[in-house]
Amino acid sequence: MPKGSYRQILFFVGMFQYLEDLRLLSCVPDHFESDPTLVPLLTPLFGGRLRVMRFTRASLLKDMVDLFEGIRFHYMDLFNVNGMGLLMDACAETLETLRVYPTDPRGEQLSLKG
Amino acid sequence: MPSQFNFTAELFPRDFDLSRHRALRRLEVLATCIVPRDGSLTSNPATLSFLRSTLSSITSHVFTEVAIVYREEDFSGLGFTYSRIYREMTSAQSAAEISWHRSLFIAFREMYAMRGFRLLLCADVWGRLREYTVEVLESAVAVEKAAGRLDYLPLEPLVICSPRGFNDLGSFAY
Repeated sequence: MPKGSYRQILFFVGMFQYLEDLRLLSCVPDHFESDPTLVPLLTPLFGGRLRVMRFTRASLLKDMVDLFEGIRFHYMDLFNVNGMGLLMDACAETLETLRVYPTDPRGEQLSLKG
Repeated sequence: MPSQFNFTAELFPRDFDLSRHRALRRLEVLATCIVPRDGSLTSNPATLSFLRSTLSSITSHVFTEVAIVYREEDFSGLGFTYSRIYREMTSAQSAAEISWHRSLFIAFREMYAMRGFRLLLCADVWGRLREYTVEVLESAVAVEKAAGRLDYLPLEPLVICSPRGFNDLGSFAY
């Protein structure tokens, strides 16, 4: 799983023009220095499923929407995401299915998946 | 244009507006968010409030479904070995689970009153548990149907399964 600054991650994601689905886990650690000159080379399709969990850095999501000139996911699964509104707005035209966790009583427990 | 959503992850919005999402077909919510498995057997008022406002905000003409998502933890006493899947429940656990399902169906009716939808019960479980969990959910539907408590629905609830592989994080939350 790739790790890095916001821009490094977005640059990496931007290497896959036909990428449909994306999962973002946790937030980017602070010790990665972001390089604003690093711009993705390609714009992924991003027309599939977006799943985001425990994500506190809304700025990465904003950069993703800005640098890729929008996102077009048709499925979103959002758990404890700061920047959820940004994603919801960006996919207003394309979103078909939304999974949300209002008042999830079990938080981040792991289950059989180990 | 400023975002119409203004909230933090910790404070889930009370006024979740989906009026601009014209392609929205389905909303998925975890069963335990609606009625926690804490023994209280009462709907979570915050979740119901959220669902009421969310459902009433939907303007999509293609919106038809609400999927209630059940995870492995929602099936008491469920376990497995390499060769078999088993379920060991005390009578108290069994009674609690029946009551939990009953409470959920009461909540579903409240949700339906806000906006009509096709009710889907979705077992989002590890693949090998698929048949067993679907059977449990079908039994829960059968109990409600036999008691005439699903007469308000034009279509019978549909039980579906979204099996995961063992290393698939699925929807992350667990």
